[in-house]
Amino acid sequence: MRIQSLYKGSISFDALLSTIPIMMMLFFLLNISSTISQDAAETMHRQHVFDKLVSVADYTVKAGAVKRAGGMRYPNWLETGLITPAYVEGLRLRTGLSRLYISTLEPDEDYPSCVYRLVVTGDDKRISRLFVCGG
Amino acid sequence: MQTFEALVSFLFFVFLSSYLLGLTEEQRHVDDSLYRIQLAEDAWRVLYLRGSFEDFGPNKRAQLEEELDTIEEETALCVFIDGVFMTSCRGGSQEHQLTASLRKTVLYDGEPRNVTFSIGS
Repeated sequence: MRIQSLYKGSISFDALLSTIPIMMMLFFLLNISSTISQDAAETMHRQHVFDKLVSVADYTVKAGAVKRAGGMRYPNWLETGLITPAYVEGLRLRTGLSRLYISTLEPDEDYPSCVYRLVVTGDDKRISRLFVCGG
Repeated sequence: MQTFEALVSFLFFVFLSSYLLGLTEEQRHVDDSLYRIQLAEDAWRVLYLRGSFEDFGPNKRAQLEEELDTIEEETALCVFIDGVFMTSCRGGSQEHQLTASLRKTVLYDGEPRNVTFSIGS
C-alpha cells in the first residue's frame, strides 16, 4: 500500500505532461481547419466575381455592344459607342459588383479580377481586346 | 520503444498536416475552363470576321499567318490550326501548352477539311 501511494503522484504528473502535446495537436488542427474554411470562402468569392466578369464580357461581345445591320447581330464585332457609362452601370447593378470596368482600353486602376475578350472594332475590323474588370 | 512510438505519431501528424495544407492549395485555383473556350471561339470568330477563311488555300496562308501574328501580339496567345499546319508561334523547339481546342471545318482549296483550332501559350 505504501509503495502504490509513492507512485500515485508520478502517474498524475505523467498524465499532465501528456496533455501538452495533445493540446498542441488540437490547437494546430483547429488552426488548419480555420485556414481551410477561410481559404474556401475566399476562393468561392473570387470564383463568383470571375464568373460574373466572364458573363458580362460574353454578353457584351455577343449581344450587348455588337454591330447590328439589317436585323442581324455580329458577335465579336464591337460597336464601342454602345459601351456608355449607363450601359456599364446597368450591368454593374445587375451583377451586384461594387466596381465594373468595360472598355477596349486597358484599365488604369487596379481591379481584383480582370478578363479580356478578342474582338474586332470599326469598319476596318481592327483586332483589339475588350477588357472587363471588377470586384 | 517510446522513442519509436513518438516518431510514428510525429510522422503521422506531419503527413496529416501536409495533406490538409495540400488540400487548401488545390482549392485556391479558380476554374477558367469556360473562359478559355470562349477565348478560342473569339480567335476563330475574329479570323472569320476578317475574311481569313474566304477562298482559303495555299495562296492565302500568308494572309492568315499575318492575322495569327496580330492575335499573338494583342493577346500573347499562340494559335494553332492543326490540319492545315499553321501557327502563330513558329520555329524553335519550344514546348507549347494548349489551353483550349475546338473542332472546326474549313474549305481549304475548295475541299472541306476538319481542323483543330487551339490556343495556348
